[in-house]
Amino acid sequence: MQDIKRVIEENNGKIVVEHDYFLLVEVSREHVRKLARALFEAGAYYSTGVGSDERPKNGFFAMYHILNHEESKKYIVLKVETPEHDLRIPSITPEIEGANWAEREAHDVLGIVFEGHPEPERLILPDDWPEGVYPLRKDFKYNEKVKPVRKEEKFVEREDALVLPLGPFHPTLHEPEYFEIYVDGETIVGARYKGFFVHRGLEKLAEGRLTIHQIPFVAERICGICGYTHMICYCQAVENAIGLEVPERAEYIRTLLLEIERIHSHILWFGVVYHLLGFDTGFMHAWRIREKVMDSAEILTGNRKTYGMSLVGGVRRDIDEDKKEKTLKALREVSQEMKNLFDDVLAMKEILNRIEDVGILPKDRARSIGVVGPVARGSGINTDVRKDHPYAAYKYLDFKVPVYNGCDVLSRYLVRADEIFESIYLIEQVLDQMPGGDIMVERFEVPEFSVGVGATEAPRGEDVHFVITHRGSKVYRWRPRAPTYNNLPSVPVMLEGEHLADAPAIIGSIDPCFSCTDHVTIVDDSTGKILFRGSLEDAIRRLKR
Amino acid sequence: MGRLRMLIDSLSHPRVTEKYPYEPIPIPEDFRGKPEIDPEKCIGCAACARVCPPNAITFRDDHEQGYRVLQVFLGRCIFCGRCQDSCPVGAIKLTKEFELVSLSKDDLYQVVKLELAKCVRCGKYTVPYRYIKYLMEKGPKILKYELLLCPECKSEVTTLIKYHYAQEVHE
Amino acid sequence: MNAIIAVIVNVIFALLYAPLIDGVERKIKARVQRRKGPPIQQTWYDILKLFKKEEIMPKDATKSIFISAPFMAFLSVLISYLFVPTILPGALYFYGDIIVVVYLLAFSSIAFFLGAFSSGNPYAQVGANREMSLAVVEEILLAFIVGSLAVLNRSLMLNKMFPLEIKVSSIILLAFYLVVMYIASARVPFDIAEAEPEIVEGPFIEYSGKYLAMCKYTIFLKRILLTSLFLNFVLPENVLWRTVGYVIGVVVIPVVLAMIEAHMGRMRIDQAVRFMKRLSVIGIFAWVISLFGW
Repeated sequence: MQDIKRVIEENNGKIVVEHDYFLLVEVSREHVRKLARALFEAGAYYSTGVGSDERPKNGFFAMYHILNHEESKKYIVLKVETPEHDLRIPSITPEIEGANWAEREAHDVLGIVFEGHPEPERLILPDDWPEGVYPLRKDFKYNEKVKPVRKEEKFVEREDALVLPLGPFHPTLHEPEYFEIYVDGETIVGARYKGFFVHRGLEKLAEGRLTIHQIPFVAERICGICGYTHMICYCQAVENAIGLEVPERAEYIRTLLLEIERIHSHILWFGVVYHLLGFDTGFMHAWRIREKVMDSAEILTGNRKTYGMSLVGGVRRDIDEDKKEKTLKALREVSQEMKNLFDDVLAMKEILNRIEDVGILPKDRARSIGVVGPVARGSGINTDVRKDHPYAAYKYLDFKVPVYNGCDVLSRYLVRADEIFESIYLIEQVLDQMPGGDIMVERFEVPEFSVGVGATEAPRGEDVHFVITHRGSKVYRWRPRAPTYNNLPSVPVMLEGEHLADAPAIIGSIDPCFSCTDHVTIVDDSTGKILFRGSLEDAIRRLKR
Repeated sequence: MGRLRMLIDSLSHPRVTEKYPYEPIPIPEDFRGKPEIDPEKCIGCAACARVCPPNAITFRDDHEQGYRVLQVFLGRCIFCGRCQDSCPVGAIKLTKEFELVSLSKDDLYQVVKLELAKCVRCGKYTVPYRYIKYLMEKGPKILKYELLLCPECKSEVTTLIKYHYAQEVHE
Repeated sequence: MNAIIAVIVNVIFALLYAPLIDGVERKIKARVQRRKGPPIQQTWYDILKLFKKEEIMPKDATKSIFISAPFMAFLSVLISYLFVPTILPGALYFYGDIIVVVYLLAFSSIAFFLGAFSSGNPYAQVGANREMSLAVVEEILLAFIVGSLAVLNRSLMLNKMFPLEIKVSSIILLAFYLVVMYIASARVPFDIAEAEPEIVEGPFIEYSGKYLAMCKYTIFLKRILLTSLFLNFVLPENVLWRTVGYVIGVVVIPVVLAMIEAHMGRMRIDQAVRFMKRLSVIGIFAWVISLFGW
């Protein structure tokens, strides 16, 4: 703890807020690069970055770089300010690879120029969005409409490889995303990613017209699978910002539902992976078992998905003995059946051959990209928000964090398999130890311009929400960052040199949740040029030539 | 041999496919389904409209005719149940009904029309009668006459009273 | 004359039965997955529906090849039924007909390959490449079988081979044939060319309407053809017993294969080719011992 503070102070950072959960550090433009580098070397990885238009407050734009330092159990928020007439901030991407997307996104939505960024290209805005219109600036109305502009699409021909468009519609991708894969025979020689087709503008909506109590319901709709974790993450960010203590019983109920969500999400993933590997019976069995988890979610929350259960300050519904018992019974069955399924599947050689030593992500690359969750843990990085930044009831509970060193798809598979059983063990503890008492704090004051960071370990990894509060129970800036946002840039690394047949399994191995992320382009092109996406038709036309 | 065990296991257990549309399926106790508003109970306070995250519940005051129209549109509803939590009289409740498919969009609307009270001083329409009645009975202990006034008159009257009171004190 | 009637009956039987047994297979797979599954006529419904639907022509396709490919594939498999008896014994036999059957089967693969390449779709090209690598190795394996059969029976005529004499080499050969049959009928783990989650049905990606129906139909017919060939090798010559045996076999074999298929994951093309190369050792072995007359 002292070490990290010393590093910050030695590099001209000023700690303004010292919270149990995070440090808010102000740093000038000249020193941000050096400080970021020093922090990265001290073991922190780039979690996310948030741009904010703070002109109404002080006439400045601000960029918040959020780094996760697991050792000291703190998030380090670097705040860099820049005046309106000189919107330039040195880019930290040359120092930390992981800052790439976050900085490009901040440029897209606010117009902050990051000097020295290696790929200063558009990321989340569509290609036909006009230049110089920045949607997250405060003078841009939330319901404003802009006129699209025609834009010439640029192509880069690859003489050496066949261009195979994977997406935007493809049975592997359950959501509209676009991977351009360059294949030589059956070997992948490069990959490019373009996403953010379904950017929904939730941030603007929340800032524009929702209150603090309405945002949880938008937050949980960021994702169709791990929605509850987003809701809790948002609630925690606000609770941290206003310094609110949640009743202990509410913390336990949150933990219970978060773990239920993790189990069903992981089992869903196993089903998908079996399907991708052509083993449809495994897929059907996995999803059949998952149905029991969904039923317990229905018993606990009243809906199949764990939607609508929390608010800032606690949870909305209590659970009783009857529900406890039914949940435990269902989970015991799930545990047994999943164990059998895993044993049976791992005895199948052709499945094992397909995932072993496939999609390698080396540990150092994983760290500099800043991958999170099972992807990081499959590459030998011991990271888990539940342990590193204990939230909800995890501080009272006992559990292990599975880490595998294989760096391949199999390691990610095994991490998730172990996590299912850890989650069941956690739920047993929660139901056993749950204290009585209130479940909700009803009344609290919301201060103005208070910064809060909330993080949860979503099934796919670290989920971070950043909130600046505003008067009248509103938020000034809300930035959710889904785990897939950090994991996706690692996909081209994993794909390179692999067989085309393994591409779906590799893309699947990060458990991509595109609607969560929807924010995205990665370019991994030997020429180093940035491409614009071409339609399927154009790709074919290029082939014909 | 995992395959064989899997096969035997599957064959020795029944199918799990449900007969659902032909047979009802069990619904848990706390299921949150279609919200239903009881027009008899509703007092038109619009608390539900204020908390509704997706704006499924909206209200509109017709100051010409003197009505407040409260509308629930199921097409936007996310079944969170915030309206049920916030309703002071329990007029809106989530039922267990979930089969909401309809060929006509109109079936997805529920409308409550409540008569507005007139300000006793200037005659302008203010809030629904029922709301005033509810506040008279259960509301905080304030001066009851305030409820019968429109906001403008209320502030004017308050100023007047304060003025008279101040004069009295002065005298 | 009798042979011609038998052939007509056999072809009609195959045409009607092939999609139906696929429906049964789907039902079986559903059962081992603890589902209810669609009715057994579903595959028939699917094919009839596809025949009614409009066709979409890819813009970049070489039209003549693209359209004729499914018919070529379909007809080549259908013509094979002239030489392989199904429910009734008797077919058109002539010198060297086993080679014709093997080549007709290979030709159906080539037709798919041509159709895929003419479609202009990159996925179809990848699929066609895979189809071809598999077909080449399949050909080698079939060559071993044909070679051994020719040596065993001192003939290349199919009717001389029905049924096979019981010998060590013929038993090995039949077991070997079963494996090759499984591979050639494009079942998991060898459905690599079509692999839906990877390359989206591969060679068939651009086909729609009746062309797609033809492609699917061809695969079903091919499966029944290979099954019938196997049954002809093992069933006795007595017409009654043969018919009874055939009816049982043509139901039981696909059902068993479907159960196996349901419990497999898909191989990668290089793994599959390696597996098949290893398999060819058995083929050589069978051939060698058949040379000794065992």
